[in-house]
Amino acid sequence: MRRIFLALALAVSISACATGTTNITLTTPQTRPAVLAEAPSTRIDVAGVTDSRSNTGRIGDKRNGYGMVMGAVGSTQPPAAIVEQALEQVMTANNHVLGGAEDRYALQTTLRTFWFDYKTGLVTVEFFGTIQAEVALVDRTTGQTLYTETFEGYNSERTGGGLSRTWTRIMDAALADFATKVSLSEGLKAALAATHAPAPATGS
Amino acid sequence: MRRSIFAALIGLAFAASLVPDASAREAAQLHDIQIESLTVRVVDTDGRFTVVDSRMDETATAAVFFGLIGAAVNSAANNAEDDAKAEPLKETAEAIDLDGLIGQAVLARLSSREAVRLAETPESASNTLVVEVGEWGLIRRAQRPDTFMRVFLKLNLSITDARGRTIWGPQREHSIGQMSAELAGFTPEVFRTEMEALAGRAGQQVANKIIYR
Repeated sequence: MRRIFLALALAVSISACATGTTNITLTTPQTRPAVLAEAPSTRIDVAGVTDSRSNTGRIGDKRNGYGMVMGAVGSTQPPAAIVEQALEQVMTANNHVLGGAEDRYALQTTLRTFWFDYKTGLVTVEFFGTIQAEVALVDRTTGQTLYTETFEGYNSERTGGGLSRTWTRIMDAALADFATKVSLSEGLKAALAATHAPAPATGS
Repeated sequence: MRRSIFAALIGLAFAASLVPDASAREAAQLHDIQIESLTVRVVDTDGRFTVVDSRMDETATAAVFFGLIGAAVNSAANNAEDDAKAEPLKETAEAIDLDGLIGQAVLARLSSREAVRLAETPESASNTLVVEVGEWGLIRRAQRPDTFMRVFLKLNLSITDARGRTIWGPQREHSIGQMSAELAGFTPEVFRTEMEALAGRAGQQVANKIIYR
């Protein structure tokens, strides 16, 4: 009887790990100066990121071997804040200056995807992380959107298995890939450079 | 019997331990690679045009209710639906020289910068950047109710040394198009324009990864 009770207690405690929500803490990626650093230093407000994900309650599902959803993966910080911090780091790493709400130019971002998932095989598990967001450079004075680009950060890894530390590493790498792609954007560089171009002369 | 099960478990654990931790290896090596002269090779090993629409909504629901066979049937049904959606664009897809566009974009970007010297001949290169084209085509932006599609392209990148040994990668690279529209909005002409633009942009990104490594 005691054995049965212990076995049940063990089963319940193990399943609790699989059925609850596990919150992971992501680290702001440290990007290197890249394409964006070739634009003249620009004062820019990295305005709040709008969270447009279809499911804002979690960033991934915990699944069993049959693919059934057993629990949720969350993040200790809201995904929008994580993306905002990553974008701020990208701008400062590329020699631009972070401004505020009174500044003329701003990066306005719409977060579409921030998702962690995995596929279980016979002896391996493949983990995936995807972060997708539209980043727009806007001129607050004219209300014009000067440039828009959708970036996707992605990372996958096949290992023998893993829990929250692995999940964190996968999402950190996806976030780093997202930041790198923003940092390497030729279009955003050109748009930032264009903000320094002299205004066209007006005829008298 | 118990011994066999135990041995099998040990075997599985050992096999799992042999699976490389790919991303950790990439991150450790890319910054450190000294490239004297580079050549670029674009290969189309498993490149396949596809439309991912019905499959986008695949969840474990069928597995929960019907077991694994149900899940397989669900997957096959979604595959068939997506294949049918891809059919009107297949001829256009076949006419797109994806490898050529990617290769040109990589070389154009690399040659515009002094950071990496391009080898005069592939044989004289100290390193080769291998760009493998994976799946590409149209993918739904997100799960329903979103119905908008966009073009996508998956690449696998690796760098080999002069002896052909892989010293970095493979690293998966995902790129997505900038235009979003309903599937019907992707006429053959629109699809071709978007896909060719994405190939150019992805090639440029690949080169930038090497230049700013």
